[in-house]
Amino acid sequence: MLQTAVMFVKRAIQKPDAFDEENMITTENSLGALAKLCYAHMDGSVLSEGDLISVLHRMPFTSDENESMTSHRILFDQIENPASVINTNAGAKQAAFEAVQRIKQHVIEQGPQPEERILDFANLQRLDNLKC
Amino acid sequence: MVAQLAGKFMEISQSKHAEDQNVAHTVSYGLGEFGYLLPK
Repeated sequence: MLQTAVMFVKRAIQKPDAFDEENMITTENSLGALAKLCYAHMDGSVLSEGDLISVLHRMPFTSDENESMTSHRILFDQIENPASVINTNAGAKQAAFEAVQRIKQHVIEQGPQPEERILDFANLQRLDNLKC
Repeated sequence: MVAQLAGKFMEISQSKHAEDQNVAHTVSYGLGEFGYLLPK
């Protein structure tokens, strides 16, 4: 079952036109799904550290407010969880910290009243207290 | 029930329905959420 789910989301991400503007919502939902599957089920086979790092390199997500807020909140949860794959894989940890820096930069550039939010209010406050 | 819903999402992901962009991103979102919440 995990393999089929991973194949489905990877297929969406690997399409030649995946990062064209009209496909970004599907692509970012698929990237978010791949990250969530990695956090919970990374096994080094179906889901590898490389899969997680490749998703983290694509953050922040900005196309779908719901996916952006959810994916970034869960990333923060993972960073604060000592047992998370984020904290037990050096490469993933580095990529996660870099993702947080890009999220911070994006929030600054968006200003106080953005059209599309990438963090809800609680996680905007949390962003400043993350130890990255 | 969550497992049943996850199973349905998997079924949809392998069907023609998933070729539609709205369905594809909904299924991707759902698979991520279910995958994150379901135990290994």
